[in-house]
Amino acid sequence: MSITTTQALPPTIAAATIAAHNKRLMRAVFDALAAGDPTPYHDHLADDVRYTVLGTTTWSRIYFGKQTAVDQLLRPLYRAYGGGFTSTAHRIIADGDHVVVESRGRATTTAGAPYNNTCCQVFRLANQKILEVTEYCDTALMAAVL
Amino acid sequence: MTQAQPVTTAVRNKQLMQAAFAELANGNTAAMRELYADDVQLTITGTTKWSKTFVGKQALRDELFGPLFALFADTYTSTARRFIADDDLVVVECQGRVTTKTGKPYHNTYCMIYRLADGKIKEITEYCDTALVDATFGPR
Repeated sequence: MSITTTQALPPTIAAATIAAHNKRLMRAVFDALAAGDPTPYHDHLADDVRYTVLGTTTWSRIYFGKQTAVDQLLRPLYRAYGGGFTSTAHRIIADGDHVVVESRGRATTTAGAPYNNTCCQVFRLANQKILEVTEYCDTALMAAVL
Repeated sequence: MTQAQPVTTAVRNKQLMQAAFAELANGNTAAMRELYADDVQLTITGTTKWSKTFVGKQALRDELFGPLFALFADTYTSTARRFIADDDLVVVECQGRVTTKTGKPYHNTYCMIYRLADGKIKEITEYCDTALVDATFGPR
């Protein structure tokens, strides 16, 4: 799975190879998320990931480090989704070390409200790890439901 | 050679979008408008009153940009931070900047996804801070 030979390739081909590899990786991560399994996603977050939730909601800020992202964002969100959470990717776009995933979330809150968010996430990867997440979600829905 | 083709398309499309955004950063919308195909479709995601699919260049002007820009007191600019291109798709993360006629700063963050064909934009999917849209223009 790891790419070790790209240095010998012309830069555009190397970037295309890395992009294809990163796209495969994120596709596998989202295949799991679509089945309700967040483990591969969590496993691929780098320890020093920089996780940005854009916008003006109470969730919106930069979470520095995996521990912070898990403790202050992902775990509280999963707690808010009483009945589990799935996310289905409908388009995956890759360029060099960046992968963009458009997805549709599906969850029910503990209060029983449907929370089906549209989301676009920009990931920056290196060595099969996610170093940066920039998340563009329907923040109005977030504010209304969560 | 067939494998190199998508790279070439992506590079060319990225250059087109970079040129259009260089103009938008200065408040010039003409270059962007010229890239729109006549049958361009723009989808604003989310749950705001603007969230829907606008079909055709005419509808974009009459139903979205016309009414929206009429609410602005000064020149709208959009500054791109990152371009990500893959075959016929170009993703642009950008920061809008404008003041509304009611005096509110409206500085939204966007992730725009453009699908191009033959050097024209055929499809746009817009993600932005919809909570800010509601706060600025009122909820649906």
